[in-house]
Amino acid sequence: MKQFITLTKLELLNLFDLNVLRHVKDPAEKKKKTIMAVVLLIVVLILGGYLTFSAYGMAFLGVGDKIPEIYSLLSCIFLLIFGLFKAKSSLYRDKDLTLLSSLPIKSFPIAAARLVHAYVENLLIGAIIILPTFLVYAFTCKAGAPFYLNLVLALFLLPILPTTLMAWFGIAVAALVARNRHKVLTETIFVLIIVVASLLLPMVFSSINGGTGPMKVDFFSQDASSEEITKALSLETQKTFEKVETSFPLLKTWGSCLLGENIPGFLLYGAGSAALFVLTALLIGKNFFAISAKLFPPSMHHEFQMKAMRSETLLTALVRKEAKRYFSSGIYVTNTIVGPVFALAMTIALAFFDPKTLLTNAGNLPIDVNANAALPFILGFMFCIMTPAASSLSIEGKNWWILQTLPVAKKDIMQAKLLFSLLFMAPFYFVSEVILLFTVSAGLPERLWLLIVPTTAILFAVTFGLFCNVKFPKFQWESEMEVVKQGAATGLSMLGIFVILIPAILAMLLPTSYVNVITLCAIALILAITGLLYRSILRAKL
Amino acid sequence: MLVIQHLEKHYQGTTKGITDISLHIEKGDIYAFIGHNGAGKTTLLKAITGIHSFDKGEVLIDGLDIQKNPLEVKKRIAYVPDNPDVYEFMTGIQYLNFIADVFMISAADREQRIKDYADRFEITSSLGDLISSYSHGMKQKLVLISALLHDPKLLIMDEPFVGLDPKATFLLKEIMAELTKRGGAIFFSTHVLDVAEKLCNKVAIIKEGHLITSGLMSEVIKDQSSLETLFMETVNE
Repeated sequence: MKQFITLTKLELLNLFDLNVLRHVKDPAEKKKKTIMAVVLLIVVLILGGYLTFSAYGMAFLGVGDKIPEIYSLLSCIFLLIFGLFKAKSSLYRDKDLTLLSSLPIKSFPIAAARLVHAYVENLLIGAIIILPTFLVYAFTCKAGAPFYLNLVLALFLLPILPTTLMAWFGIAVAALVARNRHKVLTETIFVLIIVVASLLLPMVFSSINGGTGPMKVDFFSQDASSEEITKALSLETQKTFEKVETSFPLLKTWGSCLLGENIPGFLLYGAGSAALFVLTALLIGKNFFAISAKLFPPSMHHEFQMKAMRSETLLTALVRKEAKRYFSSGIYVTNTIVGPVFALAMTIALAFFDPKTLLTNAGNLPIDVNANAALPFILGFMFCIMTPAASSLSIEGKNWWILQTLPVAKKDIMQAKLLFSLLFMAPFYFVSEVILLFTVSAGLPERLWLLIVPTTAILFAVTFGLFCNVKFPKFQWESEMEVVKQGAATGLSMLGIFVILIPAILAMLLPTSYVNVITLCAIALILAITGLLYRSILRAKL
Repeated sequence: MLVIQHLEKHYQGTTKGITDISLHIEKGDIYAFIGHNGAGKTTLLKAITGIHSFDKGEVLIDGLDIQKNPLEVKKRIAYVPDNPDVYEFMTGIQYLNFIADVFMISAADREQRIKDYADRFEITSSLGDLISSYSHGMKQKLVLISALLHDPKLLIMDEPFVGLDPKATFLLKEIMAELTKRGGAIFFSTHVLDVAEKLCNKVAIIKEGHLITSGLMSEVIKDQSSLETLFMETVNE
């Protein structure tokens, strides 16, 4: 127990880099860390604000009582999907394993402390979703005192299951790559299959039950008053949530637990998930070193024979280096390939569904909109969810001295990083465009937008990603996860990519005659910003 | 070859750094740079290689200012850090090829040099393995080979003997002597005072960021029995 407490303290000591921020002496470094913490806080506040407004929207439309169950589900899905990406690096990381295994420590406290660390991280991330939305419910639906107790309980109970599943997922990856030569590729494909399945499964369930379908509310009707539109929207929203509950009966049960209508169910869930968590900790603890050994096996020695060598240009050498770095890391690949894969999946889906059906069903966008006009932007956005460029500088880590001491201009380094990100997206982009060429029935302007808008979005996202990383580089890290997934640069770049959706929303909601003008202006503006960001990157001092 | 004039570098908010350091390193010199932990050795080495900027002073390498012509200077020098943190995702040969591409070394030349140095350091058979599988010593050998590939005029090393086996240590000393015979110069930090005394013609001692003494080894040691005695006396003052 003492070992477990000591190791848990150690694990939690530098949660979100707080210990470094506390003890760093160099004022410049301290300033940088503080700015990063402030940026992170702003991102959290924006997310919290967005969630508050969306929950308030639900209450406004008369489905306030569904807030706790819907946002609980959202929190669990979010934690689960993010957990899948970090299972290996967070729970089974090998960085300090050599040190720990040389100490008189049993494997159970190591595994349990790491599980607790993952749980606390999930607890804090989950709180960003749970706290504001549950409070909106409490205020709008005038919840009684027992609800606040349920809120606290839900806050602590909800992250248990995603954390436990994340641990099991790590074991599954270990089993899968144990006897496999192409470990990174296998791991990436496996993670993607699970993530895509996790996202598609709710849609499949939903369509089995008839789907939610688009609402028949016309925003631009001259005859309807705002009150009538609100009433119609409210009615349609209630119907939608009823269908969601039919698709997921457990959701309704969970909702009743939270609202204090099913206390035995609540206690059963709490006890069950806690028992599963402890059992998982015991099982992993017993086999911790065996699992880690399978995930991080020693390299094999191959007798090398010198062969004739070839020289490359500087840019080729740098891009090749970027590619090798990228494909050597499962975390890096799985976290950044999601966008292009989703974009490709979306174009394939467009072969079977028209944009309106796809956006209203798959995107759960329950209003009647001009989906064709928004499609190029949404496709562009999908490509760019997270680009390799956003962490390409920080990922250099302790190797940064190499590029610093070599006769390579900063401009060449940055151009190589941008070029690699573009080359990485190119196959997905070209395949998507070819599919769209044959499947989407649209006029010349729409076809042109489908070609140009995603290109513009990709150029912007890659440049903005690297710009964020240049502004917030982090070379001191223990796990790649710290820069690929949790870095200020990646967080900021993900947030910035949302600007691509602004013209999408405008194009969707405004009359069709404005679409071409909006699209053209958006392209011009995004390209101009991209140009400025590019110039800033090349002039940056590192 | 290397002229350091009144160099100052301070880390804000701390007392760490270097103050008013001036050194002259000529062609053919093997210059040892010694000092206790935290004295400022690595700070100076990183400032003259362009890794760190500095507050005051001037660093000229082969007549070129490191701050004004960083790329031209970096073409003439090579740096071996105290920790061989190299691209672990590459194999040894891929890393050497990458360095050769950056220095635009022809295919024939790189092949001959890599073969020569890798054979001498006895790591040829491991060049096809991922660097992540290398021991500390093997990584150190790889960094040394990569530093020698473009035949630098000035080799700057931070504790290069750490992690090397006796044979590799002997070989490195041999290679250092060869480089200086070709007109190159070497400036390196070390804690191995015996090696410094036997190998180097010049020495500089740094204490708490200040240069205590520098010059020809024989002149610096003067009446003292050894470099070690002098160093102990200097740091205890």
